[in-house]
Parts: sequence; C-alpha cells; structure tokens
Amino acid sequence: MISMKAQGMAVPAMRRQPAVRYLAPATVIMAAMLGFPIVYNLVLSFYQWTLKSSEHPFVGLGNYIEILSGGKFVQIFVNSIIWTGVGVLLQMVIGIGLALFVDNLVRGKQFMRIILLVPWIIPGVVTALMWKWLLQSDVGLINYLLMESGITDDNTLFFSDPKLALFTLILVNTWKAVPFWFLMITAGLQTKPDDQIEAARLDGAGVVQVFRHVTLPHLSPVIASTGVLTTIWTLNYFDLIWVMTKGGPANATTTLPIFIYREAFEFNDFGASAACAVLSFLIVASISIPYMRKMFSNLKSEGVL
Amino acid sequence: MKKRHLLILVLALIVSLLAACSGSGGTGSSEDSGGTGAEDSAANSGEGGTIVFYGFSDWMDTDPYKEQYEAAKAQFEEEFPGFTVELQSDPWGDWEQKYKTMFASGNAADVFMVNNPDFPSFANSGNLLALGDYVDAGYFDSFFPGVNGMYVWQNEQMAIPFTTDCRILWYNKDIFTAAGLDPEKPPTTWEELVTYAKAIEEKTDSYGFGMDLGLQEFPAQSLYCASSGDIIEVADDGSVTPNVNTDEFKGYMNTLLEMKPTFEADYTILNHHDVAKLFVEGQMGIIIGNTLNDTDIYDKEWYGQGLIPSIDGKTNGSFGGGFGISISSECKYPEQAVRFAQIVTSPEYCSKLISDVPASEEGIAQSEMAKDAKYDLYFEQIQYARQAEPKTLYYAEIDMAVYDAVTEVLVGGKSVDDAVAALEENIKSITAK
Repeated sequence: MISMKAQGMAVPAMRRQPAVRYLAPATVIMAAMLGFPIVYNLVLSFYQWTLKSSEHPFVGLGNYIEILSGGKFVQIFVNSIIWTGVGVLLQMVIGIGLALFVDNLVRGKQFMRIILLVPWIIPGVVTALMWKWLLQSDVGLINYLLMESGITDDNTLFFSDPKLALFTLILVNTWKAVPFWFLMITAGLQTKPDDQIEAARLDGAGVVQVFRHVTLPHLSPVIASTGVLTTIWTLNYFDLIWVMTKGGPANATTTLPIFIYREAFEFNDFGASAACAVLSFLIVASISIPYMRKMFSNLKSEGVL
Repeated sequence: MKKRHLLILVLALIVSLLAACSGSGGTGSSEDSGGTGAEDSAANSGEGGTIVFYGFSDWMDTDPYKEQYEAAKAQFEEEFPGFTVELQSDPWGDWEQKYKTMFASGNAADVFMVNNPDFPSFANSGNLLALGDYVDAGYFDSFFPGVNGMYVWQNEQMAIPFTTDCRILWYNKDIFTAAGLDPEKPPTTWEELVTYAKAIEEKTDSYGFGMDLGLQEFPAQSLYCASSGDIIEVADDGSVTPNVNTDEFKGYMNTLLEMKPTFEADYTILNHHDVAKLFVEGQMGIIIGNTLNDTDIYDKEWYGQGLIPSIDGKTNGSFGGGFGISISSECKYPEQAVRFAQIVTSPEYCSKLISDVPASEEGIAQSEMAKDAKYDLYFEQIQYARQAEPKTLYYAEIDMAVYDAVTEVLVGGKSVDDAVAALEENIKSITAK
C-alpha cells in the first residue's frame, strides 16, 4: 500500500499526531467533567449568586473578602489543617507500622490483610453511624469499656466537648483510612530489595537501621503518592463529619467542605460557596503541585516522558 | 499543531461556559425558558403534555404513599386527557440538595414540595408561580391561617399548604413517680421544667431533659415559641431588626443553661430521632419531640404528653414546620400543574400522602391520626404552632446564628449577655447583606 505521504498528499494533522488522537477522547471528557465545572465555579465565585434573588450582580472579589474577613473562617481553616495534618500523619504512621508488622508475620498474613481492609470497605455513612453510637457518651460501648476497665471515672464527652470533638473525628477517620495506607505500603513491600536488606544485616545493621536506610528509601515514592492522595481526600472528606456532628458543637468540627455545603445548600448562597471552594482548591493545589512537579521530573529523568 | 489543538479545546470550553452562563444567569425571567404563552394555548387546545412532580421518596416511593400518588395521577389524567404526570423523587437529603440545584441551574420541576424555610428565597427570586390567577381567592380559607401564611410572599400566594408539624412535651410517668413528681402533672412553665428536670437528674438514673439541639436550632426553639416573643421583627418594607436583647430571650437562654446539668451528655449533636430513641429507652425523663411515630412509644404504658411549657404558663406555642406544594414560574402548563397540586393537597389525598399532619381541618378530619385519641394533645398543640422566626429571606442564617449563640453558652462557656450581644450583631450583619 502506498502511503498518502508517498503519493504527495497532505497528511491530516490528527494522523501525524497519534498522541493527540489517543489523548483526545480522555481530554474532551475531562474538560467537560472537570475543566468546565472548575472554570464555571471560578466564574460563579465573582458573582453574588443566591437563590434569594433573580439578580446575580458581579461583585469581583466581594465573596472572597466576605469569607476571609468573616469571624468563622479562621476557626474553620485551622480545623481543616488539624483535621487533615494530624489525620494523615496518624494514618501514615499506623498504616506503615501495620504493613511492616503483617509483612513480617510467618503465619496468618493473608487473614490479617483481609481483616485490616474491612474498615476501608464499609461506606463512610455507615462508619459514621456505627462510631456515633459506639462513642455515644451515655449508652456507647466505648465509654462503658473505659469506665469498666477503670481507665476513666466518668463519661467521656467525645462529641459534646468542643476540645475533644475534632480529635474524636480524626480517630474515626484514621480507623477508616489506615487500610488504604496499609494496602499501598504492603504493595510497596512486595518489591523491597531483599538482597540489600540481607547485606545490611550481615554488616550488623539493626532493625531500625535497616528500616531507616533501606526499607524507607525504597518506600518513599509510595509514601509520597499515598500522602498526597490521602491529604486531598481527607481535606475534602464530608460524609463522616456531616453525619456525626454536622460541624458542631459551636463549629468545633466545621471544616472547609462542611462550610462550602452550608453556604450553598443551607444558606442558598452559591457565590460564597463557590469562592470558598476556590480557596479550598488553592490549598489542595499547593499540596499537589510540588508533588506533581517532582513526579514529572522523575519520569523525565527516567526517560518515560 | 499542538498549540492549535489546545487553542480549539480552550475555545470550546469558553464557548460552552458562556452558553451555560447566559442560560442560567441573567434575570431568571420566564422568557429564558422558551416562552409559555404559545405552549399554554397549545396545551389548552388539547394537545397534551407532561407535568413533572418532584418530592422526597420517603413520602412518595413507599407504601402506602406510592399507591395514593398513582391514584392522584390517575384522577389528574382523567380530568386532562392527553396529559400525564411524571413522578420524580429522591431520598430526603438528596432531595433537599437537588431541588435547590434545580433552581440554581434554571431546571426546576413543574410541581414540587417546598420546605417552608426555603419558600421566601424561591418566591423572592421569581421562581414560583403566583397562584392568584389560577385559584379562587376563597380556596385557601380551608387551610390553617398560620400555615397558609407561611406561603404568602409580598401579598401573593405562591404555594398550597400541604403538611404541618409541631413539637409537644413528652414525659415518662414512671420516672416522674421515682423522682417524687406527680405523674399526671407535666410542667407548664420554664421554671417548673427546670425544677422537674433537676429532680429527675438527682433522684433517678435517667437524664432530666432532652431536645434536638444538634439538628438545627429551630425545633429546640419550641420552648421560646411557646411564649410570645419573636427573635426578630420584620417591618412592612422587609427590613429586619434583632429582638433578642429581651428578658424573654435571655430567660430562654438561662433556662437552657440552668437545665444543662440535666441534659443527656451528647445533647449538642443529637437529632430528633436520637432524642426520641433515648426517651423511648427510658434514658430521659422529659423531652420535646414530634409525634414519635417512628418509635414504639405508643406501646408503652408509661408515657405522658403535655403542651410545651412557656415562660409563665399563660401562653401556648411550638415550633411549626411543614411543606407546601409550589409550581415553577417556568412551567409550560401552569393551569394543569396547579390542578395537580390541588389534587395532591386536597383532604382526600393529603390525609393519606404524608406521615406529618395535613395543613387543614378537613385534611386532619380525614386522616387516620384524627381517629386516634393518642394524637389529641398533638392536634391541640398544632393550633398554636408557628415558625420559629418571622418569615424573611434569612431564615437559615438567623437560625444558625441562634444555634451558635446557644451552643456557645452551653458548651463554650460564654455568658448569656455576651452571647446575646454577639447574636444581635450577627443578625444585623446577616440582614445587612
């Protein structure tokens, strides 16, 4: 067969650029499903767009100024940082610890892997309802066990004490999210350099030194990618908080997603909600962009890109 | 070439964005929807069409409601040959989110349930059809005036009352006896309520008092509604003045504060289902609750009911809620849509379509609840029910501000005076927007 080029005919751009053809369907879908809502949300954030009025005037940065100067925003921002920072740190430490523990088990490894994945399988709303009653201050099983075992003398107000409520939610979310860390680290451990570990041990390295100088560097790409993913998921997590405390008491557990939802669907102010979503997006972007740059840089250095 | 493709993609995005903005933005007037007049004429000439009804599935997709909706639909289709009704629904949480999104995007259903706190916003934005041109003026006389008034905006009736709701006082007679209280004498004043709750707390293993502070503030405000005060004053021009720096409102806050030691520990996050469950289990001596129809309370021998205690026992009241049925101002077939709304809200259907209380005497008379003596006190209370605050565009925001003030006093350690001063400023800033 004689090609179009050989015949002296112009080759359509799409045929000369296979990458464009391959990427086009996904690009169009992503532009429609992700790009458009993001851009539209950005546009909306510059308008006073409420269900209270048929007029939607352009207010420029008015919504942003109102949110940032509002009394609640600082508390909500701090809540979001604590909820995400402490939460992800706990998930990571416990997830890595469990993965290493199970990886070193001689018997029952498969059973443990299945059991440890159960919290991740349970839907968020079910998790929230289950823990809401387990941690209930008067009739909850946890309080009963704490008092029966003599650890506490009185009911612990897991949800009603504003100083305790956020940390209670962080612990519940940790219970739910640890399996993902466990799964990712376990996968990473399947390719750990056994020869290097063996050599290090022969050279007299202890368990901690082997972990620090061999296992951890090997796991660092997995830890970085899992860290970015769980940070974004945790920051954006809504169901668990909404079902358990609705952001209360006294806004002690209100995070950015709760605030965004309230503005839009309780106060009918879609403009302010959109502005808050943009602020949340900027926070997520500031976390993920350095990681993405590092990832692309690694891929380039490996010749993949 | 890469740049050209990228440019095309960006242009496509911008065009689609502008198209969307022009479609759902602007004034939201009926011209945007492609006109209703010609199509109305076509409809009235017998060509037919489809009316979309949207509500929440708890009251639409389960028996016995589903069967009743089908019957209402059949009656409508008989009256309007060629027309049909498409029944759409979502579970409660999704419904609330979706019907607001429908309005925001200019895609409202033709006929829909409207939650009374949302009504002013929808009405003010021109999304609701004024019913005066389609329904005789006397038609609305059959509904409870207080409930009917919830659906009038700027002298226009924009929804047909569908349901109403209120709170009553529930108490446990066994716990009363154990606490040395008269089991046939529920508290009628705030002072008595505090005294009784404290007695229960001291002399029994149960908690004195429980109410659903955790859901939102307004149901809890039943105590305040039982007295004559209003949290805000609304002038004829719609301007709002806070009215919380009063002895009555401070008395309400102090009553809650005094009762705090008697509350169940997680009171700030319990919703009314949780409170009802704990009461039925004997964990609480007194609660403020609705019919408790979703519990097995009526099987118990020990329950007692009372009207909501007020500041001095001389007034009556309760938080009053409920739903109306509205028609979108963009509806292509308003005459038919209004008729379907009338069928659904008629005593015959309304009394069987809901688990709440019908919004008219006649509806109540036909409901199963009316035949049951155990609901007598509930029906007595409902006559005094009113919205927790006068109708404004800021119902939810003010409600949240009151909730914040109450929780800051109860769990944040703020003084009542400071909380009231902050609430006053908060309400002013909300309404100044």
